[in-house]
Amino acid sequence: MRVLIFLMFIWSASALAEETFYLELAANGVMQSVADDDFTLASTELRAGYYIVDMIAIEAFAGVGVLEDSVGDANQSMPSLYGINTRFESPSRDGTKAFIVLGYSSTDLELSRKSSGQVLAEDTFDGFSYGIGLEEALSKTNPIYLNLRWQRHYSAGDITIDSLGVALRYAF
Amino acid sequence: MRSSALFCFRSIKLLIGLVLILVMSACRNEDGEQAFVDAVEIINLGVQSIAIQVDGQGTILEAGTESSLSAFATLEDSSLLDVTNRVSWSSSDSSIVTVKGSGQLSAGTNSGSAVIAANWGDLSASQSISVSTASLISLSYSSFTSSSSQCVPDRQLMVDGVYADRTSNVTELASWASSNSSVATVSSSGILATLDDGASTITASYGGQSVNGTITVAADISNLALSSTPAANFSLDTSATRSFSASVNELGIVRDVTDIASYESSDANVLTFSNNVASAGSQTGTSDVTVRCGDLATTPITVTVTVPATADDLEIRYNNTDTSPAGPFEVRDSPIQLSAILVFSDGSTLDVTDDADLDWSVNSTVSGTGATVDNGNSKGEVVFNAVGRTRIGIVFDSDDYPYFEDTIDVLVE
Repeated sequence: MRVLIFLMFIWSASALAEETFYLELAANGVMQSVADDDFTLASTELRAGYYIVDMIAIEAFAGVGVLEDSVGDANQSMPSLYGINTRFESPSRDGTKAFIVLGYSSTDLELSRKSSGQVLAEDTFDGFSYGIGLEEALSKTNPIYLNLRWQRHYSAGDITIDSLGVALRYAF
Repeated sequence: MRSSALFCFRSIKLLIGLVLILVMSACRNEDGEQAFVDAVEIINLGVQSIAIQVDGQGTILEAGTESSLSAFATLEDSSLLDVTNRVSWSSSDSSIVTVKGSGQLSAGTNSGSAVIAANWGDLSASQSISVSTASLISLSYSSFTSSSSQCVPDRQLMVDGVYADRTSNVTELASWASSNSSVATVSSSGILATLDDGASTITASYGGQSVNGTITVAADISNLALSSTPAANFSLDTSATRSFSASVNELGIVRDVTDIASYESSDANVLTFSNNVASAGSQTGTSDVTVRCGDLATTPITVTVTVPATADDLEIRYNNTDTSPAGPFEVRDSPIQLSAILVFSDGSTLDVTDDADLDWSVNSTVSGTGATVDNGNSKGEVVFNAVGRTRIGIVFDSDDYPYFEDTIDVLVE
């Protein structure tokens, strides 16, 4: 399935546009709810993107959890997070633009007892993801940007995984 | 023109790709979701272990019949929690016996054994269940009461099947009948309800066998006694309520009949009942309460409904003497401890000196260099710096009482 999705992206982007690549380094708060318990973790994430047409880019991202969270004796951690997005941007106005992302996310979660470290559940939650963001150009001469992004990575049944973070972006 | 067409072609491909991605990636990990929900629930509840309880026929089932299992979790405080519907059930040999999500067992037609497992998160329990094709010889009651009253809660009758190789509980398999449904009824699961005085024959039938028992419902049975709580006279504030409970002692077995008893007040203007909960009526006074169940009744107790005392005043006191309104209050030692006393309408008092809702302060220094008053760890302690006259004030702002404030002038000579 994931290979097929990747191939579709390649196919979609086969007619290359003359646009730029970019890299982003993000720091995120990751909000996860499991049934009635809410966990707030932190992750760092690297994104690499490519503009296939003006204001539309595809990007791949991968991240790792850097902070775990506990509710009572339940300890939640996020070993990894990765996926691909299509990013749709608004025209830039005074160096600021809004964007939305639509894509696919895969998140590894691990739930353990805080007291003993015993792992009770670990699994991967993947599926359609979406998000919104705002981006500000930090320099008029260098292609450096700062953006704020909220993204929903998974929401089904009693599990919801959201992230909210800031990212430093360099285009080249 | 050609460039524009190429752009459109690219865009269409892109959109198609996006749509396919969205559709194909919208998969859901329901097993994973349940595993995390179970794990959180196990941790939050403090579950230590789970165990299987054998219900119905026991561990040996008659071929082609049904029975049931329950699962219980042992919590940190050693209490038990029914988790029958939370665990996942499985059978090691579904040709012998199958199990559903609610723990319901279905025996196959062949004899043999299978292990039934209950799994919840990382916890599991198992129970061996056998299926027998031995023939049923007779039925017998294992739980039956021949005499009863209208004042008894519904009770479970139980019947055993005597087989060639064992004796098993077949209560859930049997069909039940009452010969006089105006006196007693019996449900399809063997639950007996007594309705009126008289006699009825209760019959359980299964597998071509049957067993009878006659129950007599009598108006006055000497071995039944009704008691209620509270059992003694008491007073009730107009704003308060009081719950009654009732039980019958039947041959040494105490049964709770709170829900089927009736509660009567002799004066509904003073005391009223909503089910078993008494509350004050529109008037103060006394009312006699009688608890009835069937033909049984308790000795009446008297309930006195009164208006609760109200807080009328707040006083600053020194050595339990009211220091106001005469003033100034003369002292010669330092420090001194003042008290704040709430005075109620019935003359009772309550010391609120250290109450978190009470603030002590120096209102003003009338003359001299004044004094300080502690509003922290030693509330009400006054330290004098020099001779003079100081006005000490208190403010009491509590959700439980009216707002009060008071002052006193302290004179040091």
